[in-house]
Amino acid sequence: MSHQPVFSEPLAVGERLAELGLTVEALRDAVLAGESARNGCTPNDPPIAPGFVAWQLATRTLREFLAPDGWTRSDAGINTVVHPDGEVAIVVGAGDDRTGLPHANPRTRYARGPATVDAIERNIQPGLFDHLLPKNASDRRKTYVLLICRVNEEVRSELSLPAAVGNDGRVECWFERILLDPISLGTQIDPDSDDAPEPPPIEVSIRRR
Amino acid sequence: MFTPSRLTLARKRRGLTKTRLAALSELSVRSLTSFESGEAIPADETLSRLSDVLKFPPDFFSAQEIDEPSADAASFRALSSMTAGQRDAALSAGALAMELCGWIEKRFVIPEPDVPRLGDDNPEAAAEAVRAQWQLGSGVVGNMIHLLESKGVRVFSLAEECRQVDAFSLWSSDAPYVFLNTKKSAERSRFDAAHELGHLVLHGQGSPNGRAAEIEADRFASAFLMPRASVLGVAPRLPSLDALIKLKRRWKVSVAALTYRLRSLDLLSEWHYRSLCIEIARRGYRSKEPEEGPRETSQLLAKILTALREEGVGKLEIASALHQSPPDLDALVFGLAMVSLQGVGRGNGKSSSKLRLV
Repeated sequence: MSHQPVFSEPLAVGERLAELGLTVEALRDAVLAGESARNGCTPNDPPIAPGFVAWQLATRTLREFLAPDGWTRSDAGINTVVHPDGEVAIVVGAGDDRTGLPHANPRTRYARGPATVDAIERNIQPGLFDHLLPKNASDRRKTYVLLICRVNEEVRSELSLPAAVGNDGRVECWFERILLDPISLGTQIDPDSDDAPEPPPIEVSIRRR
Repeated sequence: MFTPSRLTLARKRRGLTKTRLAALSELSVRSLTSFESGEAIPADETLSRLSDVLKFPPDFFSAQEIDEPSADAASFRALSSMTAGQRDAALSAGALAMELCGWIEKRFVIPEPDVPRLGDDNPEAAAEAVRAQWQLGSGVVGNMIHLLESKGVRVFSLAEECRQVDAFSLWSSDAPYVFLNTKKSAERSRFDAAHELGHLVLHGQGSPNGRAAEIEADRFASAFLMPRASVLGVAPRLPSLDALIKLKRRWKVSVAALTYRLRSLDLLSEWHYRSLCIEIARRGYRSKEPEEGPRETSQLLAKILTALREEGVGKLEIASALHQSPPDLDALVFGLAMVSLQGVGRGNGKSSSKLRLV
């Protein structure tokens, strides 16, 4: 599956997202919200917490961001946000470490449940049988995955349309991939280090007349 | 010789209306009005009563004309929520500060004003232009008050009863003045100083009041204290509030000001900015700055008061030379050079006459 369109140039990404009724900002804010929540976890949180809160906040933020544009949430089987015309839906999911790389083929980090598999099957466009296309929007719905992968201090993400699930239950083929710029979370200074060097003192000179 | 404008100034300094002062000093409003307009001259006994009520020495009222800055020339933060009395009290304290300044300048050479007046087109660019003119690069301003003083800005403390005013600034005879509330946190006071510098630079020509002018001065202060290049150089992408509390020390600003700056430079998403703001409010950092830095004080006033003290001239002598009361003088330097004023010049009866010679 190397012939699927991959959008990685910022201009092309922006245009393609606009066709879907989306913006880079909406997706980026959702990704950042999730990662920010992940950062809030401590060693005392149960091990599943970081991944869970990242997914939770990314999903919620995406829904909140898109609500003013008329997008609605759907929790039927999978937790998505759905375009007002019903034909595009987005679910947030963890991607493996090939997420966001243009020349690699990422997979979801975990096996997907039956509801996702159903959704993926609806993504498949039977080109030869166009006349048999389902009439109602939810049957025509394409469900994208906002794949997010955190590698140390870098977050890579992409909005991709799943095509097929592998034997292990993970999505491994894509009809389309729209790559977002990686976000570096790293500080370029260590906040624990000393403050910036103190500037030289300012001399206010006065003189007796 | 009686100077009517000085009676008006003293009354405003105490925040009194004519009616109130007339009642306190057992005069008719009509006589008080005629004194202030110069139509009549108060008898010695009346003047001494006014002097008692107003707590100004009697000779204050007979000294030469005093310039009171006009409300149009000054920038007030919350003009709409201020009463005219509060505004006048602040302005008349400003007039007393100018008297002190004039007195100082007769005795000392102090830095010449070097504050450009650039107009309010682009506060961010203006902040960079001022930094360039002063050759600050994108470095941290170590001490905002010392910086202002070295550029000829006269910095004084805002009187106790004018604290609602927050801070204000004005140009008078081509000299810039800034009045700071020295009871705020060190970081807030620094931001105020930069905000007032913003008014001097952006609104040095016209009437600087109104919401838009305040936003412009805030943007100036934000850019002046936290230059874009310096923030972009070190800002974390997804900081926790605790990381920001450590980081803010670098620019000696409040954590709220740094958070706002990061948002304005697009380094925080709307969502992240909002959640940080909520956390700042929840932890009470709006009213109590975490890890507060040392308070900035005046170098100019400290040096001058120290030099005078070595000549045997203390607070009482300066106050008497200015025909002001020592508490009014204290109020002008409160929190800026408090230590230098304490207990100096006592027992030296000659010094006050020496001062009058100049």
